[in-house]
Amino acid sequence: MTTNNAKSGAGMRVELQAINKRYASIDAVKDVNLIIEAGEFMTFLGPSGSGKTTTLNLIAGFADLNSGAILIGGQPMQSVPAHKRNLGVVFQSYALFPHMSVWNNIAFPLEQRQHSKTEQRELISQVLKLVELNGFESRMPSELSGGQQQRVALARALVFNPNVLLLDEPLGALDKKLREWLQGELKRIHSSLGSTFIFVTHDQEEALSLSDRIAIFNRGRIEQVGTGQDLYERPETLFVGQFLGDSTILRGIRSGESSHSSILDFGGVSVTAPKARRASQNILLLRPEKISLTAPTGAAESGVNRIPATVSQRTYLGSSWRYDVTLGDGKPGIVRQGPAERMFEPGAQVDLVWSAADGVLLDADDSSGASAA
Amino acid sequence: MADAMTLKRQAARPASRARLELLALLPAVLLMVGFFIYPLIEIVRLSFTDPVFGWGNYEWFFSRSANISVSIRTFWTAALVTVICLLVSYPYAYVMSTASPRIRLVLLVVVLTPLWTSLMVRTLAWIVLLQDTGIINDFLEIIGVGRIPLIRTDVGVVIGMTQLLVPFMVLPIYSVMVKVDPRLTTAAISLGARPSTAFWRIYVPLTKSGVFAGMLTVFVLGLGFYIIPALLGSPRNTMISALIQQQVGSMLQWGRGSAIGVILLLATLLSLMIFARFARGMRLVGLGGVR
Amino acid sequence: MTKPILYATVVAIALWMIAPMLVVIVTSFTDTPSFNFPPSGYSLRWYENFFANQAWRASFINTTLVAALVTITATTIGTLAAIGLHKGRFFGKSAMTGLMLAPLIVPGILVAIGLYSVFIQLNMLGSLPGFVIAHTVVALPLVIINVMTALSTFDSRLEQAASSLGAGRWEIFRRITMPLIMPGVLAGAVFAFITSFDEIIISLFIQSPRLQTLPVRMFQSVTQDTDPTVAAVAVLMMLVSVGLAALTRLIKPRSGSKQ
Repeated sequence: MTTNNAKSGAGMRVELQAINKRYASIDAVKDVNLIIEAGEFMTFLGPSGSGKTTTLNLIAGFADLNSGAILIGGQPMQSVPAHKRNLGVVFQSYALFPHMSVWNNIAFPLEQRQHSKTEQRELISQVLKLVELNGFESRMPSELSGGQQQRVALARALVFNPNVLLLDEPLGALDKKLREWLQGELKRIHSSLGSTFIFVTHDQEEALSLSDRIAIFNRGRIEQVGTGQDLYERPETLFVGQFLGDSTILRGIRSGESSHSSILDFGGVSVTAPKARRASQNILLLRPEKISLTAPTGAAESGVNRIPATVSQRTYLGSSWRYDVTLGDGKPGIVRQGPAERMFEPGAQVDLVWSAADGVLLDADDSSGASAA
Repeated sequence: MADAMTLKRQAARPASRARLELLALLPAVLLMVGFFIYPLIEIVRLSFTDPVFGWGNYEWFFSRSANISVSIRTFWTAALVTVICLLVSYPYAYVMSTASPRIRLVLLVVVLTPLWTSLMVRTLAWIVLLQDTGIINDFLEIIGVGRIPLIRTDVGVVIGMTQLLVPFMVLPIYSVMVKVDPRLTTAAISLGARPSTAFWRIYVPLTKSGVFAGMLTVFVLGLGFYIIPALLGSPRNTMISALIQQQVGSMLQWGRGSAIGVILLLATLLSLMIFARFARGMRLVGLGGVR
Repeated sequence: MTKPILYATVVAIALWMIAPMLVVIVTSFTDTPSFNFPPSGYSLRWYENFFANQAWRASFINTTLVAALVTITATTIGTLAAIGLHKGRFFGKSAMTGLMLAPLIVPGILVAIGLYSVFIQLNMLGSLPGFVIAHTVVALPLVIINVMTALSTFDSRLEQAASSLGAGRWEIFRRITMPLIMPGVLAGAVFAFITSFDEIIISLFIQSPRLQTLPVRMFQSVTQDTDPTVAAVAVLMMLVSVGLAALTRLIKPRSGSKQ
């Protein structure tokens, strides 16, 4: 908050140390290690059932760990029940108390903390200003729109100045326009408060636009942690590469090695890739905007790769064209071309051309790289 | 890292929560064991020990043709009432599910009146209506049919029981009907089905679970009826409950009355199990509390 | 069935449902000591008779007292049990639920003779505790059903939200859970009252001349003579039930979480 009540940088560091959670012998969360820095905006991104919400519930104290430890501000949380953790939680379903007015909903955490009526009034009017809901104090939750309900939920979770704010897909139920506007609001609120935000979503654009760092969850594990740019440009596993953004995947056979590059054989065509870090890496991932399409020529240039393909579909995207192509082995590929580039019709024979440094070499087995984070 | 202490503490927390929930159940469990389970066990015990130990009371029951015919009449009456309830309730629930909210509310209040009025009050009403000098017989005489005995006959019992049990059939059928997507029958008709075919092939199967729930409830409640047969029925054509009352209340034959009670209980449980097999996987709704 | 026939059928059924009530109301105002319908003339003498008669008055007071006590015991015990059944994760939970709801299925005459034999042993026939216990057994399932229905529509995320906002278990129960399941609890309480108020089969067995409830006296009156006082009593009982039914409609609209 922008007043003297708020300690700037009040956010706390959250540490997850080898946490495990099983539900009826299914590993919902498996050996997750993660450090979320004080004041950071961390997003848990992953498909549904990947363990991201379970991890959030474990941090909140709604479920008990099977093993491992959670530390908030350096304090172990094992014996601290949910209501003593001083965390704000915003739920996808808002979870506003339907029998209480907006004011009473927001006053609830303050009453639990024995704030005086005067303090309550001051804190509530501040937080209502922050979420831009002045004048709605006496409304009941059922009289508010989805976006307004979500902002009340946010205000209720923020009013007691929690050290960490947990947000479980808070924008999932809203329409696109409202979602984008609330994303901006969240960002603004995060930077004005300085507390630690942990945000769960399955929407990659939301993750990219909001977060300092993103942790990608898959089957109960964290696949990779990093900034959006890290994850997009330097995925460490095939899962991360495919989950975040479009890509073309080339499965080849390693046929050679030099001091700073590897050679892959792809259906008889040799392709140069960056130097492999492990012998098992024989999959090449290419981002659509790194590839260009040309008419087929036999000419080879050094540092540039070229493989043949057939255009199967062309889609106009406004600022660019998207080409879906079929590679020699029948696998699909995706290429994005600027409007000034030469156009090809569906059925045309083309070459995909890219610079050797733009390929990302990955393991075929996407679970082996999981602990690299 | 988690040490042994913290691990132990984690394990302890859910356990204490579970204890609190069991504690919440304790008063109800004590009451039910003391004044529901124990009395039923007493009945079973008496049926084998009063006046002498053995199967004597059951042998007595099955050796008397009067007892057998009372049992058959009880089942027959419960089955007949169930069928009439279904025939009456299905169109009623259908109209309710398609009517405007206002009409729907009126129909709901009307069908619930038997639940909101005392069993004695309803029975009294039927005595007034069905008696030999009652309004129904007056009407029958006017239209030339002539007076026919209604009270102290099975007809009276069936009319009274049906009126009482209709809510238990209407409510589950209605609750299923409102969830049926009306576009489904329209879709069937657009695919070439005649409206009657669409009704029988699409609509009726979709409402089957409500019908089963209603039939189960009505039949099981019908088996145990006592007051209506006692007051509207003929003393010579009693039902099982009245037989029990006679043995225990009037003749102080505890063993015989208890044996009949055990047989009635087993018949009830057997009916439940048979219905449960038919209705497997269906959510049975609408059990209420009127006997 | 064509529409007019369908609607005519429904109207006939509706009449069948409510006609008996109307008949009782009219009969209660007859001026002759018979159940003749329609009455030859109208009077209030049977209502006067009810209020003048010590035995009728006593049984009315007894019935109300028993029903009020049953409402308290059944609602308290039943609400606790419903919460235990809803939240509990223990072995035999569905069997336990079945046991709690069994009095709805088991024929009333069985419960009646069973309690009769137990109350003889305990010397509780015709006693106030005896009536309260017996009626609580049959009223309990209705409270449990109503409260469990309310709990099943209750969003458990609200409890998580409350705990994340700093509320302990008791505070959550008092401020969140209880207010939100209150409509179910009140509906259960009304059902409990009416169940006890109307209960007849068990009451016939466990009554004694010392303590009789209104339905028992009505039963005796109906089987012994044609005294229209019983119709006046029936109307008064209907008024109580309808009044309580109206009460539940008043509390229903506020029910539950809509989210």
